[in-house]
Amino acid sequence: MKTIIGIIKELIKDPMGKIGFIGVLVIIILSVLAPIIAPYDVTEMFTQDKLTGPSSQYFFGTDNFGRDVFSRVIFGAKVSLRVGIISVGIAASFGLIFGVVAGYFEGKVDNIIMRFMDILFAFPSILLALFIVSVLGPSITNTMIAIGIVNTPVFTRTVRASVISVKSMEYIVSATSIGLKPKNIIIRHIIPNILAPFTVQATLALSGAILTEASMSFLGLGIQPPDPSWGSMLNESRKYMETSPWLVIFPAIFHYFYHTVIQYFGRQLKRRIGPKIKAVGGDLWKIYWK
Amino acid sequence: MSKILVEVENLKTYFPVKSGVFKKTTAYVHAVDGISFKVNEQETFALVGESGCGKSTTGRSILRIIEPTSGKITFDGDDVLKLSKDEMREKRKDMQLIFQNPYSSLNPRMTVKKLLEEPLKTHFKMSQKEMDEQVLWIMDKVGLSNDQLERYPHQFSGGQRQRISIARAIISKPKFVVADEPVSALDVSIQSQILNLLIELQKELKLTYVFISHDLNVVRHISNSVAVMYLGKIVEKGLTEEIFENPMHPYTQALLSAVPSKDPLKKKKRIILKGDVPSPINPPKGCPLYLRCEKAMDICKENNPLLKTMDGTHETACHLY
Repeated sequence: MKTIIGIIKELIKDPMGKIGFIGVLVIIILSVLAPIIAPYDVTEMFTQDKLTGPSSQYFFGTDNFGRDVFSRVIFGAKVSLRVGIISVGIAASFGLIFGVVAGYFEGKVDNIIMRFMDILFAFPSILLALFIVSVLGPSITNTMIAIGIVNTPVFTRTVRASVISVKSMEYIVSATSIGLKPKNIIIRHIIPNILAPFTVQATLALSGAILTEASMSFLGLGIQPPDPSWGSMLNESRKYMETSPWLVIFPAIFHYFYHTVIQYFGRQLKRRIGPKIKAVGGDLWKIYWK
Repeated sequence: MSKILVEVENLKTYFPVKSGVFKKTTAYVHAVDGISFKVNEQETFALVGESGCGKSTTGRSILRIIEPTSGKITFDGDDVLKLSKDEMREKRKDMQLIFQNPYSSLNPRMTVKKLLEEPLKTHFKMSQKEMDEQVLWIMDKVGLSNDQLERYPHQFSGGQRQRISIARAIISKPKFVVADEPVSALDVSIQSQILNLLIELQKELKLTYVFISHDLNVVRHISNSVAVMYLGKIVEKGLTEEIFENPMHPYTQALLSAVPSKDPLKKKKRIILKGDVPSPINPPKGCPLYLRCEKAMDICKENNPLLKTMDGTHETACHLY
């Protein structure tokens, strides 16, 4: 706990870090409080107020069905964050398992896992995600699964590289010489020492996952209507862009804000916890986070 | 004469050199090339030699941390190399390793308490209370105080860390400990403390050491017998006094002449070996010291000398005798 508070203190010393940290806090609060903040239901149609501009009644105007854009943007944020966190969770868990197994045992197992990851890596991520969704069928769950699979190779590579680096440390030899089983060496000695680069990778992957979700929804294979998503909102409002620009501007601004803030947060986190890890965990960081 | 605890016979550890696209094994590094020695119970056997001569590999091969290529290791009547992986894991309770660098041999994410409990959890079924007692006992033995139990390794100095790593090695009450240069990463003032600690522990817990070092003064202080290694082979071995008083092999003579004298005014003849150590990938057919030795003869080029008994326990591998 102490170290977490310490890292946050370090983080907000830097203006970029401050923006990132406060931004992420705002995102979390907005998502949690979405039902309270949003003035209307996301699917409620005010048919007499179609395509009205921003006003005190509808902060961000209304869309072609007369739905409140502000409420939809706020709920879209919640959806984005949920998709982001769960898909990164999927990618991180599989990445951790595959990466540790590949890095620890090396040899044939390593070759099989890594060549499979190379295949996944070879496809452009959006194409692969679209392919998976078109096989599974478009829905919010399948979108999360698809984004999760697309991100798995990145995690596997990061984890594997860290494991190989930690494995050469003398305390792993020491654990072997004491007579520990491989399972215990992995759980007690290797995983605790690779968590830092892993956490940073997760933060950075989060903004990527949100972006992929938006692109997929824009192409109609992500979140399905009438659920709000920034991507699908942009898609639906394409036709009215010239006459009612607020339909595009607000989701886009929010999207930009989310993406930037999470990126700042991730990058600064990487910078802040890098040297600390070096002091206690060897030269891991020199290799991967230069 | 006391009982033999560890006997190493013709131990060889080769590392494959892989090259090319298909990672084909093209050659072997002859890190340890057929060495034999015996270690008596409760005595200290020292392995000395320059960097890269295979002394650490020997130590680790005895404990099977590096799998030896061939040979026979008898520990307390058991053939160590014939044990299965699980049997070996159990055996590790009795044979432990102390590392050279206390800065990298302790997991930075574990407190001292956890580090010390780990061997106990692995080998014994103990209640938390018994474990606590053991940990306190060992902390007292290695001279650390109980209020340091919840600290992390980076909060200690080098000497203290080495105490922790010694404690971790001997908490399971082993019979046999391989100390791989345990003091060479420490300041001279701390070195003597750690050496004395090792000697005290040996007396109290009836330990047998294989002590690996390149520091001849340290070796003379701590060991009962010594083996001098050069390029994966033992070139001379015997009781410590025999080796230090009457070194016979030219390599041992050169090593000893490099030890700084206690009296700076006393003139000493330095024997300086020319050239470099030959590559262990392709060791020469004759004596490995042939090109560097002042006393080299024609036979040295052709024949690699074997260890010959000089008198009593003193053995050396040189064509001079």
